[in-house]
Amino acid sequence: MKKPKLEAAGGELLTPMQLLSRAAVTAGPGIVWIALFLILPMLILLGYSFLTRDELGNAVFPLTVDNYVRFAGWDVLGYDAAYLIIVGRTILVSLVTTLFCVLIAYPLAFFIAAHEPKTRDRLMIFVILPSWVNLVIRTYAWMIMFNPSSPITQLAATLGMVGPNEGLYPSDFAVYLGMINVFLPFIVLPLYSAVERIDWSQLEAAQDLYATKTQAFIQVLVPQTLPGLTAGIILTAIPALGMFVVPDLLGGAKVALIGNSIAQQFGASRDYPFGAAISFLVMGLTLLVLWLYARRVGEKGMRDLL
Amino acid sequence: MFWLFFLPVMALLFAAWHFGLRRNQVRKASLGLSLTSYLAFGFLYAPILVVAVMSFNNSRFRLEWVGFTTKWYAKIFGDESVTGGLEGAQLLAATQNTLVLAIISTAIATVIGSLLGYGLHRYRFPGSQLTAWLMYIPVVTPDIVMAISLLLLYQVLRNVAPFFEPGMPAMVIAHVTFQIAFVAIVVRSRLATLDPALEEAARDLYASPLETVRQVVLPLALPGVMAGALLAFTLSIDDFVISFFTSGPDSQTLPILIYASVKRGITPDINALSTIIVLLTMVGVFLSQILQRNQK
Amino acid sequence: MDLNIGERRKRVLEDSVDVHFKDIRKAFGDVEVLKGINLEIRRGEFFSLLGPSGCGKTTLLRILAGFEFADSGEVLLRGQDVAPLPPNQRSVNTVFQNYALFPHMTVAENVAFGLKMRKVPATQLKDKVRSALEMVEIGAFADRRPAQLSGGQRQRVALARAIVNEPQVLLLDEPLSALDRKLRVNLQVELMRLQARLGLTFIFVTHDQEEALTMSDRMAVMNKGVIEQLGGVQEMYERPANAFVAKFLGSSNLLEATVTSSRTVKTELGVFEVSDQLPNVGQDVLLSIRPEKISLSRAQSSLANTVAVKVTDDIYQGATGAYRAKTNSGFELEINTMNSGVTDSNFSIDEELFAYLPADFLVVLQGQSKLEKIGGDES
Repeated sequence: MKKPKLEAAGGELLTPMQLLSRAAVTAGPGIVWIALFLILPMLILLGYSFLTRDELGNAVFPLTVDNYVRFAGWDVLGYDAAYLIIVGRTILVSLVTTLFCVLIAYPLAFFIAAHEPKTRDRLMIFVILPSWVNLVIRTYAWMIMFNPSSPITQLAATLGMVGPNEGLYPSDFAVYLGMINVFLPFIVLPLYSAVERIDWSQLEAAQDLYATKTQAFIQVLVPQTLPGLTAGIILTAIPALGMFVVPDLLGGAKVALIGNSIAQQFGASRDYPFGAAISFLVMGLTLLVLWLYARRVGEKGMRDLL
Repeated sequence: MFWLFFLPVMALLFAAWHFGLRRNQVRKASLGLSLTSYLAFGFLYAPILVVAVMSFNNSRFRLEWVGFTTKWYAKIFGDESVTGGLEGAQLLAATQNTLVLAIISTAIATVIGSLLGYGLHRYRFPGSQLTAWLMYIPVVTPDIVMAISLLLLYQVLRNVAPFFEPGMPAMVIAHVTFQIAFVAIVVRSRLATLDPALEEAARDLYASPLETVRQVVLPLALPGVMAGALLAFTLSIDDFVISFFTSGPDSQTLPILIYASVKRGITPDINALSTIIVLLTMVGVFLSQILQRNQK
Repeated sequence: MDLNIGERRKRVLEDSVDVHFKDIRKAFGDVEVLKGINLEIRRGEFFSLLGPSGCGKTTLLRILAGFEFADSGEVLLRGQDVAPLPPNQRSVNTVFQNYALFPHMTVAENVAFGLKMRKVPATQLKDKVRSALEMVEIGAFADRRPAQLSGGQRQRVALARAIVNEPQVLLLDEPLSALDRKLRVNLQVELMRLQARLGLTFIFVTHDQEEALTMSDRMAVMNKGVIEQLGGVQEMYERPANAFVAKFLGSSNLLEATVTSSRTVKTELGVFEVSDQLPNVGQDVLLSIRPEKISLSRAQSSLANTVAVKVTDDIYQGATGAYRAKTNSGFELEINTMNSGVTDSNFSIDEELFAYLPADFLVVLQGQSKLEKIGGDES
């Protein structure tokens, strides 16, 4: 007698067919949606990046790798590393932003963890709250603060940091501040959940075993925060690579980042294939980092990201 | 009408009191740690406060402080005697678009996302691991890349169906796409905290599979579903980049309107509008927190 | 009819079989957790499945409840094959290890759940819920949520939720393991009374040998997917079938021996008389004797089965005393004495004594004849 191999799920024993149909009814619509509007667009993005732009700005055949070659700097007019410079600048901005966010987030996370559990929750809400405020609003606020007539700018002018009647924006500085402001909550959140989970008795154990306070902190506490830190870095560094609003409003033409370059190709320049090529590079990098991260922490660990 | 604006202010004050930070609860944070943290909080809130303060500035064009006024709020609430800045009709349309977009997309995403979260939690099937992984793509992918890829998809699909013209349907689809992922992740983590024996207990006590879902799984997953829906709603209201690249001339949302106005030059009524949005957002977040706490 | 525990032990069980496991096999991936289980459980009996964690006892229970399926073999519930029935169509109910009470329902709603699902009319339902709650003495908590109850109270709710359905068989999956010791002992007594009163078949899964000994009519000791021994509790304690049972059920001194005649064996402690059935002369056997069956005395005895020992450890335990004593050859015996104050039971370390191992209590074990083959201590 041959029995079908059953599978236990939620107090039920299902044959493979039953299981598949249950999965299709529940997860099916979501999977179809993701396939249609998340995966398919990525493939189209990849496809577009190999097309050519005609005189009217339409994407047409033949297939070509020119867009990637152009991105790397070889244009009909000769070598120009403009886009590589933008990439370099974007990566720099992303890394510096992440670094400063980590530097601010660490004391903040420990500060919050030093409170009673109830207060901790409240403080965390206060950290997250600004991230719910619309990005455009939070960004243009810096335009108000950094315009030539604002007290902050005038103070900077007195110190000789900017010339008279010049604003603190558009500038690198404004972009950095705007970016750090936007991403700080994203790094505090996972870092704090790691700090909250710290087994503080290990600190005492380390000190009991003759470690100094600093040694104990570095060798016992910091390693325990690493999972949260990694999640926070991913949540900051990757989206920062594609940030569009902040450099657009605070950076001006001088401080164009990848995000602006992409927007430009789909706006004024109307060069979709080239824009698709740049987007796909960012997308590829995102997927690569996400994949490496998933491989390291496993599927459960990825929940740190949300 | 503008005094209506003070309702959220009062709600916020209440919330601040409810969540009041009493200094005596500080246990062992050192002075340096506390100072750094207060500075960090100040830095986080500075842009929001500046916008709020400038919304009371009695100046039409200039960014420096001239004097106190509430006329910009009056204007937003329909006082046509105030000149300068946005047109009332534009504002109304943008508000409507924002809400319609958020409500429809959240409704769709909550249903599909919750089902997806349940399916991934409950069943191991070919591709379930991959799907679980794919859901994190919208969480980390830069907005602009998602926006561009959808823009291109629509361009291809437009050859087949005019439905994919830039505009509200295209925006709803775009929003649902990233919302589904967030809802599914939240619902799934909520389900993961439940004792698997609960479903077995229901089955053991003569409940059919459907009754088990209705009587046990759904009520227990509901906080997760609500939290997911709230998150989806806020993400939709908040979104600028994806809406910007998929919107048509008749489907401008508030963030797009604000962005376009800022590009032309910041006017005080934009500050007033932003302040109202900020307050409503904050009240929403506080309310959801209070709701969640009462649920425990 | 309220039976006390003494009467309960004496009650005559029906001869009919409630649950029949026939050659049940089950593997999770490459791991075989059940390797051909054959077991009959009689109607109205308190039956325990006892074994270390991972021995397969819970899997066996889950197969009966319908949460798992057997790779091969049959489960008969009152003669009917249950394989095609989903859990909600089996008239067995389970008390889960962590109770699995529905947190969003009150105590009364929890207890009413099964009745509601079976569409019992509202009027009957109320009475049944009330009497079930009263039976486990938590009537006063009917409107509370599980989160507002203590562990012991939750346990009672879980019990009421199961018995209110009047199942043919009640399955209990380590229901007391999460409770502290005092509470556990109280609930043990209550469970036994309840079982006797309802006349229900209980299948009780536990890793606690004391619990199984206290409560069961019969039990099966399981290890690594097989039943090591099956029988009445007294029989199993007094006559363990093999080294695993001897060690897992209480503690035992195990002694290698070679048969020298139909009544005697030779061990490293000398020649012993054995009342148990011995195999042929020349064969190796393993003997077991319980620590409390050995008696110690200061006076040299001329009786057979006596060895000279020296006390190495002396552990005062209140009601009992536990000693470790070494023979001249270095063999360590475990010996328990009653602190009755009548017999001399107060020995000190390094004292030289005589241990008497009565022939009646030296049990010949099956399955193995050498000590080395015994696996690690699993209890």
